[in-house]
Amino acid sequence: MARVTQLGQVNQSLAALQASMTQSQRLQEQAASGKRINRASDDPTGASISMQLRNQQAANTQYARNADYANGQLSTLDGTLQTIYSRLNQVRSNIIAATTTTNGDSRSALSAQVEQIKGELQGLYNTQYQGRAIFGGTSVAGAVDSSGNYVGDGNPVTVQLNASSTVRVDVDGSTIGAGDFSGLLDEISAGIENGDAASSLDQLDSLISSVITANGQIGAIQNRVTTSQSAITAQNSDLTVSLAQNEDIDYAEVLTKFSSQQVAYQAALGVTARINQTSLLDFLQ
Amino acid sequence: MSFNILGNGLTGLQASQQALNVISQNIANASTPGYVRQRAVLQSQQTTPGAANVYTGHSEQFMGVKVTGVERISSAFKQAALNSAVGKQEALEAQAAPLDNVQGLLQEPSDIGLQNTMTEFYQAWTDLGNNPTVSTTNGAAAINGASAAVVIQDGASLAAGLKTLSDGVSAEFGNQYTNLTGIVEQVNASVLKIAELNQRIIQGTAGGDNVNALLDQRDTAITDIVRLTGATSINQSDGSVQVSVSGVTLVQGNAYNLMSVTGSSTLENAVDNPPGLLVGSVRANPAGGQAAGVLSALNTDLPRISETLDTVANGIRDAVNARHSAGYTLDGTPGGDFFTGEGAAGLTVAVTSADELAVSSVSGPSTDGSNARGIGRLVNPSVISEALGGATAPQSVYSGMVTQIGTQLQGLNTAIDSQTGIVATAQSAVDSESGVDLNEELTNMILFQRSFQANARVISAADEMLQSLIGMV
Repeated sequence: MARVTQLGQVNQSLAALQASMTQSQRLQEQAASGKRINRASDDPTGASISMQLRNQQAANTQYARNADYANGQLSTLDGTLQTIYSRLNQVRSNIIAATTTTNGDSRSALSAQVEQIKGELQGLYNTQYQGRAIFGGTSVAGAVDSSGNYVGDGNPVTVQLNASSTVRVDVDGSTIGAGDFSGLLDEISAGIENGDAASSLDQLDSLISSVITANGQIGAIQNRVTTSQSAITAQNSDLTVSLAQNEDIDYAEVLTKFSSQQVAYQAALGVTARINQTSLLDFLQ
Repeated sequence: MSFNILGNGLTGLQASQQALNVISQNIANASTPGYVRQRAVLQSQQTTPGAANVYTGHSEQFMGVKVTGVERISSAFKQAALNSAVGKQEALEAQAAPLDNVQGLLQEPSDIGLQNTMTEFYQAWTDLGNNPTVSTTNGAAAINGASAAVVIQDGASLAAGLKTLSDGVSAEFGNQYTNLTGIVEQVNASVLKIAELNQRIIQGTAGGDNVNALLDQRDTAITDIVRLTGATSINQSDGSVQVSVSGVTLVQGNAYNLMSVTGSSTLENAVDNPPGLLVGSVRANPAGGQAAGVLSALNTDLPRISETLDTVANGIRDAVNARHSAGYTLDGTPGGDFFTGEGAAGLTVAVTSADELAVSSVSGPSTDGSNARGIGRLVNPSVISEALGGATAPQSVYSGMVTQIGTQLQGLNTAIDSQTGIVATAQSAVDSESGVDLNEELTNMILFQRSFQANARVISAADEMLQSLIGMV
C-alpha cells in the first residue's frame, strides 16, 4: 500500500485544481469569444476548413461586386440602345412621312429633324459609363469622332461572374452602325429633300435590326448576371452558415460543461481545504 | 548479576532523544520541497561472548541500544523516473511556447489575418480592372485614382503584414535564444553547486558524518539540471554523483565542465550557423528538458515558419510581377514590377504612382482593365499556381502553414496533458516514498516519548536498588 504523505496530498490536490482551472479557462474563452476555434491548434482541421470557407466567401464577395458593376454598365447599355432605337425609328417615320407629302416646307422640316437626330445619335453612340465609352471597346478616343467615323477598337470589356465564366458587358459599336449612321442619316436627310429617301429604307431597317439584336443580347446577359447574383447570394448565406457551424460554439453545451466544471472545481477546493484539517495532532493531549 | 541497568537506561534515553530529534526534523520539514524523510536506525548492543561470568554464568553483557545512523528513505529509481518525466514535460512545454506565440501573431482563422489582407489586395485589383478610368480626354485616359490608390495601399498593407509576421518570428527567435542563454546560466549554477556538494559528501561519507541534508540539496540541484537539459545522473560508490547531458559529462566528483551557447543569435544566420549547446568544448544535444524544446524551436520550427513566410512573399511577388510586367499602363507603356524585395521581411511595393499601374493588356493608349482583372484573378489558388509554373499557391502555402502549426501545437498540447499525468504519478510515487506523513511521525513521537519515560523509570528503579544496597551498609 502506498504511503499517503502530507506533501503528496498537497501536490495531488494542486495538480487536480490546476487541471480543473485550465479546463474552466478553455470553456470561459469559448463562451467569451463565442467561437470554438480561437486559434488553429484548437482544431487544426476545423481551422483549415474555416480558412477555405473564408477564401470562398472572399471570392464570392468579389463576384457580387463584379455583378453590381456589370449591372450598372448593362442598364446604361440597355437604356442607350433603346433610345438609339427610338431615334432611328423616328428617322424611319420621317422617311415615310416624306413619301406622302409634296410640300417642300414640310420636307425641309422633316429633313432638318433627321439632321438633328444625327447629332443626338452622335452623343448617344459616345455614351460613357464610369469614364469609358460603352460602344468604343477600350479606345481612349471614344466610339465615334466628330465626322462620324468609328474610332472604337472593338476590344471587349468583360466581367468575371464566377470562377469559370466571364461575360461581355459592352457592345462593339461597329456592329450597331456606329461608323455608318452618320453617312446614312446625311443621305436620308438629303433624300427627304429630294424625295428619294425611300431608297435608304432597307439600309436603315438593317441598322435598326442590328440595334434590336444588340439590345436583345444585352437583355440576355443582364438575365445571366442577375441569375449569377442570386446564386452567389444563396451560396454566401450557405457559406456563412457553414462557417458558423464550423467555428461557433453551442452556447448550451459550453455553459452546461462550464457549470459542471465549476461544481468539480468547488468540490476539489472543498476537499483540499479539509485534507489537512485533521491529523493525529488533534487527538494528542 | 552485573549492574548495567543504569547504563542501559542511559542508552535508552539517548536513543529516544535522538529518534525524537530526527522526528522533529521530519515534522519541521514536512512541507519543504525536496526534503527526504529520515529515520533513526536503532540497534541493540551486547558484548561479544567471552569467558563465562563468575557471578551470572552468562558470557555476554547487555549494553543497551545505540543509534547507528540516520537513514534517508529515498528511492533513487523513483526519483530518476520523476526526473525523466519532468524533463520530457519541460521539453514539450518549451517547444510549445514559441509556437503558441507565433500562432498568436497569425490571428487565423479570422477576418484580420494575413489571409484577409491577401484577399483584399486581389479584390482591389479586380475593382480597378472593372473600373480603370475616370474620364477620357484628348485621346488619353485618366486612371481611376481612387481605385488605383487602394491597389497600391493594399499592396503596401500586404507587404507590411508579411513583414510584421516575419519580424514577429525573428523576435521570437531572439527571445528563445535569450531563453537558452538563461537556461545555460542556471545549468552552470547547478553544476557548480553539485560539484561542491559532491566534494563535501565524499568527505562527509568518508568521515562517517550525516550528509543527508547535503544529499537533499544535491537532489534538488540535479532535478533543476534535468528540468533544464534532461540530463542523466549516476551515483558513484564514493557518494558522489556523475551528471551528463547526451553522454557529455557535466559533473564528475568535484570536477565539472561548464555549459555554453554556440551558434547564431539571429534567425537570418541560423541556417548557416545553427544555435547549439557546448559542454566544455564538446557539442551536447539534450534529449529532454527546456533546452531540448528551445533548441527545436530555434533550429527547426521558427526557421521553417520564417522560410514558409518567405515562400509566400516571393510567390506573391513573382506571380503579381509576371502579370503586371506583361501588361501596359493606360498610356501604353509596358508595366514594370509591382513588388520588389526578397522574402517576407523585404517585400515592398515598387510602384509609386497610380499612372505606373499596368491595368491594360493593350499595347497602346487604352481604357482596358483586363490586365488588372487578371491580377485580381490571382486570388484563385489554381490561377496563381498556374502563374507560378505549377508551384503551390502562396495562399495555400500560408493556410497550410497555419494548419501545420495548429496540428503541431495540438499534438504538443495533448502530449503535455498526458505527460502532466505521468509526472503527477511519478511525483506521488516519490512523495509516497520520501514524503513526511505527520500521523506516522506523531505515532513514532508517542512511541519514543513513552520509551524515554520508561527508560527514565528504569534509571529511577536502578537508583532505588542502589539506594537499598547503600542503606544496608
